Amino acid sequence: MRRWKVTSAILALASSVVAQNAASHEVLLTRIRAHMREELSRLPNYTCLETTDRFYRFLGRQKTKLRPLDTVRLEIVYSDRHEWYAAPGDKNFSETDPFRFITRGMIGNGIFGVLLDNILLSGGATFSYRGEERLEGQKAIRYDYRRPRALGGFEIEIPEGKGLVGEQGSFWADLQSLDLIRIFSHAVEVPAQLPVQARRITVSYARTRISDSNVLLAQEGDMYLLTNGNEEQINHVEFSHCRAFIVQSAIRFDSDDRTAKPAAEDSSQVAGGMRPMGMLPEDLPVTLQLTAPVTQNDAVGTLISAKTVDDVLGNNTFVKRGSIIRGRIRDIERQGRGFWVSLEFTEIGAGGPPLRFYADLRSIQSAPGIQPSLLREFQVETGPNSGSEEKITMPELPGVASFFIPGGRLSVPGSLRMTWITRSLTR
Amino acid sequence: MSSSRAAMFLLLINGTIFAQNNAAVLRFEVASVRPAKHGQGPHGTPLVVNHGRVTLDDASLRQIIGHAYGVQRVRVLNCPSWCDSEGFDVVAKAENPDATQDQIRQMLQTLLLERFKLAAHREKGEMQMYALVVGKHGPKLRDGRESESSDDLASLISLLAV
Repeated sequence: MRRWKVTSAILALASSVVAQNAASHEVLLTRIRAHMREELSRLPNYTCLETTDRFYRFLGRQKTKLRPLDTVRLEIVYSDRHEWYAAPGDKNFSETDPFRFITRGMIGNGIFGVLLDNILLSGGATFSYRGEERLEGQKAIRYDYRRPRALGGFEIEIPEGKGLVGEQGSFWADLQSLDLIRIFSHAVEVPAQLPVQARRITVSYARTRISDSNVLLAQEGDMYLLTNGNEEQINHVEFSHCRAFIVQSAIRFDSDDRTAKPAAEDSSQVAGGMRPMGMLPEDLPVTLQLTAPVTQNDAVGTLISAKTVDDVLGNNTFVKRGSIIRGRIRDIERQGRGFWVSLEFTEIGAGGPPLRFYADLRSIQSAPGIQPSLLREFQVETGPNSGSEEKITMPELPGVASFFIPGGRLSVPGSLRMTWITRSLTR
Repeated sequence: MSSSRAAMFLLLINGTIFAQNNAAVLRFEVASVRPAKHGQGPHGTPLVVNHGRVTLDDASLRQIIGHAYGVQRVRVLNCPSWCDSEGFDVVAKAENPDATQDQIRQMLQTLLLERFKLAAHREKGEMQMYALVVGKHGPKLRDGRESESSDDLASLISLLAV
């Protein structure tokens, strides 16, 4: 009798602890969602350049390498629960469907803002707490989620069919700041008329300083699709050259329905209150020197600057020696006996309004041991099920200098010099 | 290869002018049709459309008709004697830079009607043709290597979060 009482007491205590834990996980989830709602509400104030490197292959008897298809660049802004697209350099965002800009291959939306809104904020998804994990060196909390097809969140269209799918996956948030670190999603409830074996999306987020704001933005993502015809397509998406965007004109829809697409495409657009940003002419060599060292105390997103070492002369262009080029720390990652560092430079002061700095890195000088990388490498999950990874390689993003610097402590010297060649947005 | 007869749609040039509703007719904003100065001999003439601007270099009447009506040139019957021997340089501009291929074809049809006084109609008829058949020892085709597949094989795919 006494043993039974003790057992009952232990069980009651355990169920109370479980209930308390479940309640605390619910509270934590509510806090994360509130935090991300706040972040998403700021997103319409920023526009970025979306660079999509596209790959494809047909899975036959012999597995061949993924073949690069092309690179698509579009300006993107998120507004009124839609992602709006414009051609590079254009200030009028009149398309909500990036499909209009391509003639072949896969294209999609959602990575910049809509996917986050659909999964975390729009309601309808169910969540379950999965515990703490380490992700990219950070202590993260993971939740799994499922959002049913009936809520109509994601549409897939391939030549053989079209249909809505449901979403299932996970998200990870930083335990301290509650910032979203990553979202993973794969398609579920694929309708019978849609011959798709797998569709996966991964989005990674990072903070960046734009003007006086410290903004959480999608930094990169992958879209993967495998059809029943064994056609495999992968898009690697990166966002760079983000800047403040002030919407002045009204965004008009013919319907008040929050989820409805604009009924008349030509009557809906987001026109920015900014001028289209000018650019340096292409093929100009520009040598920069950092104005301050970068150390491991600097967080990803920290603003950095450099100055031009020589005058830059082009047709109708003159940038004086000592002009300031602004940017941010795009990535710092400890790897083996050193660090991989990515510095992103976005605008150059040339006397008048700042010009977009859009250039390819040619060399890095004055820094023994630094190994520049002109290529990016990424692991992507391929095949019908998660778990099989392959490496894809693509040219470095324009305006981004990536390099390995050996040592136990990160210290990029302030004397670091880089030589760039300017390029056009459309090449 | 064996010869046989098959029914197919043909385009016949005839003397009847169609009654057309002018309001519905699509035509180029401006068009220039000039006899080509230097004949290139037999050659292909792709229909080049760039932001509503159409260019055809040294194209025979049969080639222009082929583009305008979307038919193979061998299916254009009753063409006049100079149909293949004379070449024309065509440069035209549609008012709408985003005119579709179908709209451009309709504009070419109007151009043929107005500049060449062309009248045509479609009909179904029988023609002599070659049939590709498997020989008595079976096909000797081999599977293509996947790595040699063309970039154009990447299908158009749209993934939209809605």
